[in-house]
Amino acid sequence: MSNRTMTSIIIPTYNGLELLIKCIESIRKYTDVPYEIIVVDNGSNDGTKEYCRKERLILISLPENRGFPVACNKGLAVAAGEQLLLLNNDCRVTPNWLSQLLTALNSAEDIGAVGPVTNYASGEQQIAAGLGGQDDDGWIEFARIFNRTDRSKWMGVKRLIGFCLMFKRSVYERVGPLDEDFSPGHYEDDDYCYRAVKEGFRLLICKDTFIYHEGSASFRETQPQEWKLLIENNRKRFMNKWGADPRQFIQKEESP
Amino acid sequence: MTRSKKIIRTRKRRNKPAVFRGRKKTTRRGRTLLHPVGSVRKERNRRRPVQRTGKSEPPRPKLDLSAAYAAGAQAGAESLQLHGKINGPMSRSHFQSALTEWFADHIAGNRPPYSEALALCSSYQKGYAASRQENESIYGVPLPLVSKASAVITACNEEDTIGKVINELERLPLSEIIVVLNGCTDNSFSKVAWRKNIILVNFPDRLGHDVGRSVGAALVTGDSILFVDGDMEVPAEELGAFLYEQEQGADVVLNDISRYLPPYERQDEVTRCKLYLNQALDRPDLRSNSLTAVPHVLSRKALETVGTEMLLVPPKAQAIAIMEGLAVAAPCSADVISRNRLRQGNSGAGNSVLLLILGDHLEALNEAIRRKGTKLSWETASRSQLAKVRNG
Repeated sequence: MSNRTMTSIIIPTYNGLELLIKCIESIRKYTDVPYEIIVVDNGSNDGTKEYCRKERLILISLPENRGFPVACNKGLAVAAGEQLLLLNNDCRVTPNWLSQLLTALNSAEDIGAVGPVTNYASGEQQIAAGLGGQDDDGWIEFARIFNRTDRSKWMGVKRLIGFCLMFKRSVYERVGPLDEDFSPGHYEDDDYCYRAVKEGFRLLICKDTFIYHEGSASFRETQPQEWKLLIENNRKRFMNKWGADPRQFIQKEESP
Repeated sequence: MTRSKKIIRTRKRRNKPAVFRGRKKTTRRGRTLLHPVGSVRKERNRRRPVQRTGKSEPPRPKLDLSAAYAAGAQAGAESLQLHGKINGPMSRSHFQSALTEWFADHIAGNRPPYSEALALCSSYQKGYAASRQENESIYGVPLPLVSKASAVITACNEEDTIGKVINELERLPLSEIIVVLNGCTDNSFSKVAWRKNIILVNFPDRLGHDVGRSVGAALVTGDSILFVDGDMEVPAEELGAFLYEQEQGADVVLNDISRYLPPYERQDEVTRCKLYLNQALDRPDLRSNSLTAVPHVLSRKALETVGTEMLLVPPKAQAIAIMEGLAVAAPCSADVISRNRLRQGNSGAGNSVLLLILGDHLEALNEAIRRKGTKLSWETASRSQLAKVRNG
């Protein structure tokens, strides 16, 4: 049996020490429920390993970049928590973030996974425009007021994005690890959600909980052509696997 | 797999009396087991999947080392044409696949014992390297492995030995090496972190070897897993035997430490416990060999049948492996007794490691009794049978 209350926060990273430090510091500052941090380093050479050792974080250091799904799976394999949370290294969490996400996740037996809203995402997890133009500290201040548990703001969906995705261990046990065929990444989160829904779990967007997502998207900016190709290939991979277009799940869904 | 169980488990282990609290009860049960008065061993076909090679078998043909050398030389010449002179990953992987392929053809389904296989493959390697004008040692130990093998090293404060242990493992054709450091306050981390091709796992807190191995096992991708400790440098040639025997068909390859042990009357409680467990599971042939000792190898099948979490309690994992009908064997040996460093906590009567291992064996026996009943592999003889035995 795993630890009943603990959440394992799994952060894959690659040469993003600056971002990682901010991410870790925000977790330590704004998390008021039990958690452990597992950093999965995809072969960084910027001192990430040494930082993790110094900060006494659980570290899995891979010899080279094996992509997002593999890194997540390595972290999941050693995680001890009852909740498993995948978090991008370019996120900064906010006051009450985890306790609010937990409230939603544990509000019903059949809820399998939850995710927050953010300033940088696609579909329903992007919060309404008009709040843009703030720096990250500004967003945290925004979240301090925004983050109030409100069930009416929970929204049932068929797809959650992997920048901050929390699911129950029971989901992991039934659904298994992420599909590494989607390496180096994209649509592995859609795939996971699809599989969870197939197993009868419900997914919620917690529109009462905001975390900041810088969205560095280095690959997207440095190699836009390759990025586009990857997206297209993995979308096809998803469609071949499930006979459904993942884009249809990005649209609005019914409320819970 | 969850690590939290391990954490709970570790805590339990730290104050092991917690596990031992069941002692009275278990000893009460255990007593009936320990002295199976009037009982005789059930005679049945014991599972001996892996033949002790080289004994009582028909004499093998003489090793044709020169043919091996010639075949190696030919493959080396091909590799020179294909990959050029530079020794890189390409030529090394060429060597490995050429060796494995040649070995399979050469033995034609009749696997020789490890020592002979190693002699043949060494000749092949010499020929290969000679054609490429290289020193054969760059190819490490010539092990004709067909499947992907992973290694897991666990270590807590082993800065003096961890590098040497990895050096030895790097001489084997492994697909991955996972180092699980836990609770290190010395320079173990920096001794590992600079190395290429190592998966380094670092836990700030001390986990113990069993938890560390279980964590490593949760991460491996290989078809077989070799477990070693970071404090003990075992030569790669000796470790290779365990992987070779796994491919011979064993799911659990234990280290046969029998030859390093004193006679029964001078053995410690742990050694006797291990022997007793094997006897209780109708495998006296395994003697005192145990999953608590390294090196050992598990097949993927063993890992899946037993479950990575069960590795937290190695004797229990061993008991389950035997009861589930896996091929458990102890066909090769590495001297870990004289290489084992004595340190506080693992020596002397009543030391904490001893209590932990005894507790683990009680858990293993408990599991065996749960599955097989209190008589385990023994049965009570009738008075007449008993009389026969007594009267010879």
